Amino acid sequence: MSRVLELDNVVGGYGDTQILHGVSMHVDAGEIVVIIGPNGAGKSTAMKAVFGLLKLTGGDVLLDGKAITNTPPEKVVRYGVCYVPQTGNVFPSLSVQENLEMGAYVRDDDFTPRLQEIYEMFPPLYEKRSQAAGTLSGGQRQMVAMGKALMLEPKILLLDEPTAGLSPKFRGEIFETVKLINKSGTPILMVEQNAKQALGIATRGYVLVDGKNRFEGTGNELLNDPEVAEMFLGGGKQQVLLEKVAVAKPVTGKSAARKSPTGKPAAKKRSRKKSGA
Amino acid sequence: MAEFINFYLIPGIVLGSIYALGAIGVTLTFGILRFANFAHGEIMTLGVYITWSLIQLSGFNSMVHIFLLIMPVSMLLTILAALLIDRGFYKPLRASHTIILVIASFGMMLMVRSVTQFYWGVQLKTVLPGIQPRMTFFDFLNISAKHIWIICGALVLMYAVHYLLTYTKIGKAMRAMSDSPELARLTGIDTERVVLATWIIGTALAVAAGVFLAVDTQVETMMGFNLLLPMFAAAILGGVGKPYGAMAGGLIIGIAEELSSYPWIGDQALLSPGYKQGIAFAIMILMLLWRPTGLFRGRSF
Repeated sequence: MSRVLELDNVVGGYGDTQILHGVSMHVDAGEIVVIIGPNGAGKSTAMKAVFGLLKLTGGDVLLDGKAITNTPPEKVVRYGVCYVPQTGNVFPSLSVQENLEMGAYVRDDDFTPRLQEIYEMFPPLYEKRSQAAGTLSGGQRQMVAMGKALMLEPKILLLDEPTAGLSPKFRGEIFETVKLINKSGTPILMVEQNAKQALGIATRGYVLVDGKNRFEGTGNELLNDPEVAEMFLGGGKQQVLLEKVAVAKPVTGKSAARKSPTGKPAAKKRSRKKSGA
Repeated sequence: MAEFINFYLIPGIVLGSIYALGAIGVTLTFGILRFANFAHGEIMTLGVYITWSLIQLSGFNSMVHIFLLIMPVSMLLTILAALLIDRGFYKPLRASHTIILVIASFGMMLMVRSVTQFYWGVQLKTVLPGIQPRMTFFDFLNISAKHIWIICGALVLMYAVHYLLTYTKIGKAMRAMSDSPELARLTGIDTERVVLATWIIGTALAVAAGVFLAVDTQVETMMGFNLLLPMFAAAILGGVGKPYGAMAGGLIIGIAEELSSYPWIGDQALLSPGYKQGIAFAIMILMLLWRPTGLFRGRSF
């Protein structure tokens, strides 16, 4: 099988903070490859490294065997790599159809047949094609984001936690969609928090810890690996710890706001979020 | 009734059209380049002076010639100037914090104004000499020809903006970038091209607004600056980053300013015409208090 994408001992981070300390992985034609790992392990960062969103100080990113290390995102898109970020992945005030058209921005040929294919793949999008993407539900928005990326008929699709923040019902739908996209011939590299479900549909998976490869194997191998299971698939100590952190976070946020005498920092944060939306 | 329409409502629509055209540029620059462009008014002034010079050079001074021949040429020349300014001053600062760009545009405003004053002088000039004919419709509607030109011209330009933003690839890309510059970049949208289009459209509309005002009143070096604040008010009223909001906001503020001096109660003007400009600010402040995102849900501050 031909190798589509390869990360070869990639080292890098943001500014002085090094996050990736030597990550290697690859995606072959026809595969769904899943990256799992605890928070802060560098999962999303590894994906961003492919897309030129952070400065790599070591290692190489290869697309079809050619180095694309540190190529800026607007060029990586033209090479046929599409990246769907976790949040803010649609243009909210543009209609569904306009979002898809923007996905084809770098295409100079007639993309109407592709648009039809996308609508056939995601029938709900056709019904809502003239509705603003910002008014859709989370699951449908995720569909728009994926459809938009697929408009380019990419060599590989990068998905950053496509099910984050979705209800279990929609989560299942998104995993089905990912399988569907893959069946139509697009290899997929995906970061996921819902490790169990993601490994269930994966050809292969990587476990990253502290910016390094920890485990790798087929989806089933990882699912049945006792160590991986203990760490990420529920029941293990780390999982409990992670959940505790997740629960504790908002509380610390609130108490921090309460501590500040004027409450200004919290208010500022909120308004900044708004302005970004 | 006839008096209300002829002397308050129609001048209000004329002023509103001028504000609307200018405010579209302000709001597009804010949405796409992410800064409040203080130099927008001076670009308008520059366009008006270029128009004035072209009229003197060519000798064409009828409205048909001014609007259909001279104005497009001066739009092109002013666009050229705006693009050079972008290349030289804003582009190197593109990645900087918004406040840096705002202050840079403030400096640009002073520089462009000084150049205009130095080159053309500060005396009042006129574009249209003499008294303009007025036309009467249905026995009571009494409109001067220049006002018909201005209102129709503004409608045509606003429709052109609507068409561009809704049906063209670059227009959709402009809206996309206004929504999210990061995602635009990840999508492969050529952001520099979008920036270029923004300057071209904003400048062309500013020149149109300036020339309309010059035809309606006179030419002076502070005209753009005096228009800047009502234009900002219109952009905020409509929702920052929302071109249709800017159109609506401009018309509302223009009409409100003119109607404020109508003798609504008794036979005295409700507000002395001297306070007209204050109306724009009153609306702006009320809007910021009541609904900071504006009528069309733009960006908040």
